[in-house]
Amino acid sequence: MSKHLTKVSQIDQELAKQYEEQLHGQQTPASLFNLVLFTSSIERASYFQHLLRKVVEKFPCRLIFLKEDKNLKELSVDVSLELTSHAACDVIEFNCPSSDVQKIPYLILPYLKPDLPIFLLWGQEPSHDNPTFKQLASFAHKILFDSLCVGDISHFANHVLDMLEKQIPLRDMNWSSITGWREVIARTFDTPEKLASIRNAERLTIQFNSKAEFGPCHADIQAIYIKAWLISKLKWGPEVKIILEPKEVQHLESGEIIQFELDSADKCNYIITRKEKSNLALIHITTPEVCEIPQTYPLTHVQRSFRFWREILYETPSHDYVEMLKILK
Amino acid sequence: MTINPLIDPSRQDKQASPCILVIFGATGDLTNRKLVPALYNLTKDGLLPRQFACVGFARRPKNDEQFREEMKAGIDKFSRTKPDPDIWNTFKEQLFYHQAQFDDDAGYTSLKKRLAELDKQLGTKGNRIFYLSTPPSDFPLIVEKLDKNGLIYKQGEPPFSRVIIEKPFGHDLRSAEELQKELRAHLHENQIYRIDHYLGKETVQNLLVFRFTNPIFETLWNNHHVDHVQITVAEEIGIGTRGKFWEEAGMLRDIVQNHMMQLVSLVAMEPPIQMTADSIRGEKVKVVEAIRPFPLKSLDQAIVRGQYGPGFINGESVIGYRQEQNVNPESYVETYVALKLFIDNWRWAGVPFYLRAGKRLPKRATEIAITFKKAPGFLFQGQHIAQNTLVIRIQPDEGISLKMNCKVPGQSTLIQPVKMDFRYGAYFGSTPPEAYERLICDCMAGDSTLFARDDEVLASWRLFSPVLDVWSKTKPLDFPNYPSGSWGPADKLMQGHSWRVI
Repeated sequence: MSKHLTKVSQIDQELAKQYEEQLHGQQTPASLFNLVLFTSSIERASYFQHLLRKVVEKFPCRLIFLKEDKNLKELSVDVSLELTSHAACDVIEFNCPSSDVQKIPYLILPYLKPDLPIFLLWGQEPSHDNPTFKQLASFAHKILFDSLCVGDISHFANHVLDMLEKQIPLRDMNWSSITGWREVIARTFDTPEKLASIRNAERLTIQFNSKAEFGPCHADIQAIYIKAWLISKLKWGPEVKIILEPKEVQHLESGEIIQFELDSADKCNYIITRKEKSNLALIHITTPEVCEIPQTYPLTHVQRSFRFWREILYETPSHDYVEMLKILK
Repeated sequence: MTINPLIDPSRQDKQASPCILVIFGATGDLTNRKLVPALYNLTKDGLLPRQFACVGFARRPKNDEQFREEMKAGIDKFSRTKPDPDIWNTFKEQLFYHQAQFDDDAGYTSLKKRLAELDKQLGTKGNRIFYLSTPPSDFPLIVEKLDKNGLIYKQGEPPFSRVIIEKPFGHDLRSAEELQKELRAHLHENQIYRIDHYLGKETVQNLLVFRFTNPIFETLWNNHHVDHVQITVAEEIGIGTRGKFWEEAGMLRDIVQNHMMQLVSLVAMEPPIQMTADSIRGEKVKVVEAIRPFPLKSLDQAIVRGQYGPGFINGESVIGYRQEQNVNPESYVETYVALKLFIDNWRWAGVPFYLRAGKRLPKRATEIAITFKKAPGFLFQGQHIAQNTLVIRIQPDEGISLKMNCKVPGQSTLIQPVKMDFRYGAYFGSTPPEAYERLICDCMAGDSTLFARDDEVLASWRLFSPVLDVWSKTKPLDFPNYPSGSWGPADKLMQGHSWRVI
């Protein structure tokens, strides 16, 4: 139950009141970290709200949501508790008019829980020239990016590589979203014969969900990442034809991979399909000699699972990610 | 061997290698309740490679389909996650059954042939893990047959072959040494994985993280600051239908000699120089070797044994041990052990470690409590100042608490102990992996950190074997000596201290 406040100074009082009213001994107030999210896109605000609820289910935290809205005249705050089966988490949403955007870093400072890590989810194109980003990033222990929101992928890749070179801790949510796919692909081609087959690929088609529920976005980003990852690992050249095929699927989130299909020079065909309404991949392999029995494998990081958030929050970018970005640069 | 460039070596989750897991004694309880549900959950979490098979090896006649159906029933009943039909349909194709006798060479020859076929079919690369879920008396025979029939490879180059054995690792020092000798005749120590499922528990693994990432506690973790340590493994259940087993084992063999010694060594060990299996296990064994031998001539000053009589648990009356099924009505087997031990090294000299383990105690609880030395009392005279106590709750209600003293609001200075409490469930709500999931995955990845090493096991037997010897010669005429539902008979051990109320 959210309470709309017009005075920032009322936040603590309102939180205390909500704890008293809503907790009946089943949940414990719990915070592992502070998660600060910034967006200036009102269409994407709902998407982020939905995303943040998924974090809280797995990792209780204090959520501070900063929304810059050019249509607003006055600053206001919404305060609520997010209750899971075991924990109660504070959610503070600042609705900030563009004219007050310089206040943003100062707004949140009193409301960061002390002694806990601060993660900043920057919900748009990162830019060194953006003073809000600079200030928020300066006290974040880790920056999370959702590259679905970026405009120019090459510019984004350059920017992130630059930050990695400066050893700024960060994590790309869409790279983590495809961890399950990378694992399935790695396991599918985990014999010398199959490795040889993929090295001699002729054609790869990656189908992705082009649904744009919350405004324009780079729905092909995960597909682009898989493409660039394979190129970096297998040293493919222009002889491999790679097609990124959009398809709208309502029950999946924007950008999610639907199917991976590879044809190789040795006339083998590999199809890995996301099973409908499930977190499983169906692997179908056909060689000139045999049509293998389809196998099912879990896609571990889709639908923002526990393992997905664990990776985002606690792991560092891998060498594979860096090499992939260099392909995109 | 071709390395797959698509596998990311930097991933934190361990990479289990393709292999075939052969479970000897697959029609037993452990397979159905723990092992196959663990494999199923590993599959569900994407932690098992596609190139994997599990072959049940047992005497009873059945085929693959029948075995799969039985395992499905086990998963439905015992899996920590809800069974998923899609996952099951793939997983079951990786389950097989091989009927044979443990002592028949023909059974091993046919097993070898079958495994070779599965290698071709599934790409398991010749890697083997043999899980001996059988009575320990069968271990030497099975290992000998495996070696004789070419199912065990020499340690070194791939493919690998490993053997997992369950406790008890012998029933005294002599039998443990004998067992070790028999295993080592066919296996390198690095091929032997001795499971102690306590080491697979998240909260037990957390001991190392807690100790060695929080210097604030590590600096206090010694005899300058610690008054005493209490370790409790309490169960409210009785021995149930395991009377026959318990009559041979007893509490000292079943819990104290293995699980509790693991907890003692993790609590008391020095920081390892690196987080490798041998470094960690090396430090653990030093702890056990430093424990002062029990005084055999005055054993009851150091160790108390008990046996539960009739009493009340959760308001219901329960029978005593001697009335349980398959138990001798005049049995002298202990269901409770409490002991006081000293670790004679620089860190712990003079600090008593009190251990108690028992059945039919008031509640189920496993915890480690570190009580720190008293504050000098001259500042707050006349006030009771509680000693700071750090409690690590292993199960249930997993977490860590610290008791400290605070002032009661008001005009005068009154002192009240309060607790800072971290509860796993409140922060990490999702169901953690079961111990067997972690342990099987570690074995497949070749990581033996969470498995007991031979010298650890033998050092523990050196300590307790003489005690068992004395006990076998002296009957405890006061058995049963504690009613079910009480905390047991060991108050006399605690000179100057008292057992914690949990």
